[in-house]
Amino acid sequence: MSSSLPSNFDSLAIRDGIREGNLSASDAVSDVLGRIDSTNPAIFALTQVFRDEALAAAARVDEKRAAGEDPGPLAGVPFTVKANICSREGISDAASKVIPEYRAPYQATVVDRLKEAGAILVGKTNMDEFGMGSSTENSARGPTRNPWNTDCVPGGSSGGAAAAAAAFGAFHLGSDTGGSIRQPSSYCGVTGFKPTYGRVSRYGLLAFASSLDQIGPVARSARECAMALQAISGADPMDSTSADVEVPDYLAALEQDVSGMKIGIPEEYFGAAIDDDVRSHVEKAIESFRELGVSAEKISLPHTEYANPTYVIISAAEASSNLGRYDGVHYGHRAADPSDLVDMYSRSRGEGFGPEVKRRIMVGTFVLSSGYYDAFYLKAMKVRRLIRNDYEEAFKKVDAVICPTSPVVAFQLGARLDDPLKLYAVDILTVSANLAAIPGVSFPCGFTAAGLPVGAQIFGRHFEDDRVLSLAHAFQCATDFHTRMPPVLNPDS
Amino acid sequence: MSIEITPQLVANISRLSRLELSEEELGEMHGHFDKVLKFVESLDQLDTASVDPSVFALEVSNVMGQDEKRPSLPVTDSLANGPETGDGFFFVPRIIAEAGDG
Repeated sequence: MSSSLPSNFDSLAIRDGIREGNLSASDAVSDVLGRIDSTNPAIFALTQVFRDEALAAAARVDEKRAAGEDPGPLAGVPFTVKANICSREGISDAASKVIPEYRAPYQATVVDRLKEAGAILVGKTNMDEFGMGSSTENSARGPTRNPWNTDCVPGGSSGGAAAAAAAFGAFHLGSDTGGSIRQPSSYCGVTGFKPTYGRVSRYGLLAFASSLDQIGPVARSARECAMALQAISGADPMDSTSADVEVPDYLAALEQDVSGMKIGIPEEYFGAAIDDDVRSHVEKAIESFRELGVSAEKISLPHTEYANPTYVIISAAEASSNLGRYDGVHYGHRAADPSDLVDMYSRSRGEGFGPEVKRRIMVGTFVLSSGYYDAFYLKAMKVRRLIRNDYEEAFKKVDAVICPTSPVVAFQLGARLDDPLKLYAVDILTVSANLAAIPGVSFPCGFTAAGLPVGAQIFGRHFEDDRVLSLAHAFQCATDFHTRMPPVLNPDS
Repeated sequence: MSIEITPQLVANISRLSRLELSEEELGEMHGHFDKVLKFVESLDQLDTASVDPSVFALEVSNVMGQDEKRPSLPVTDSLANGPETGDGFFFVPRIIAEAGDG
């Protein structure tokens, strides 16, 4: 193993080492594969590893470099994608039994862009089926475990990505419909970023709720997230909801001076539902920002309590429509000996989908059905407007908003499985960013006495993704929470 | 809005969803619907009569593209994941009765 490998598994250090000729792409990829081999069995963050393909791609980068060709801005940097992001390699099953062997005939734009930049796909990460869950326990492949305590969940639905960032370093693409990047990042002590809706193409992402879904990076640091965001951002002709808005230099923008910025502290996000431990660490983080010259003032987002019910209705409605395509005709599971077409549809879907996905499809069908549409779906879309207006008002006074990412830290496996509503409750602080389409980052800001990470969250205005990341980066320059290594890496500890 | 969840309503939603559920699943779903309705009932407190619904949180207008030919997915690739395919088609159970079937 090369001695030039960065000890903190930092993607930027890997990028620079390869660029400067101190490290080969083959060594970088072999190193991450070795870490996956030793640690993945304990946490099951990755459901597939593309060993041969990744080593071959790394060898091509090294050959290009040797031949004096430009292997790309992210040459040799290892990454993974969530199992709902289509790649040429492996299967894209969204952790569902309904499409257990789905081999996508096309590749997601984000994967295309990263490969063009020279980055190397090493595997796919576990998730709650179709993104529906907050613990990665709703996976047909089995649960992922938290690297900080393997009796605990990693959060979800991008729990595999967050656990992988904590355990293996590198960067990982997840998707965030109601907090699915930020909440697991909080539970696993890493940095997770949900970009502004439209910042990143969704082409090749298996859709859950199309007006809320957004792909984003998970890594140890905000810098690595900015590096990945740079490569995946920008308009895409294959996704007409991707925004034709200029992509700034996100790494350069990280260094902007945060002193003089104003952050708002929404009183509704610090209420009784928040664990005392979580609240006190986030309050300390706010003090750290003040020391950096950021001014912090109390604000109000008055429709906060309505965000989660609104999310439950809208996301289920969109899911019931999007998941109509899994019908046993074009791909995936087909029930045996159907008596007619409807029998084939109904049994294929009944046999293929897991319990939580069935619940969401049923609720979504209900809120869209004749007689109930106005009372539920239309109502929720109107409340979505009010939630969005809350943020517009807040951003007239402040540049960003800070709050906890989750009301609790990582909980024990099985602790919230008996009642789905208990699991929905942990989304309470993350869903509004999706409803309002604003960017949000979660970053570690402390640890409980039991050694579990606490995450803080920052929201910003539409397309001010750079400002949101620069605040997280400034915090990480002043603190070391994001550099701590979980005990799963050291079995003797 | 006060709604009574009945077994008939749950069975009808299951039919509309094209989702076959066992008796046990239907019973669980009934309980779940009760909880979800309770979870979302706070929205009734809000007067939204004069609020425009927000379909997409970003105000985007139609996106037009050039009407240019582009390669499409090869038929064999499109069919590759199908559970039953052949001759360039996805096979499904018969949907039109044979003549004389009434």
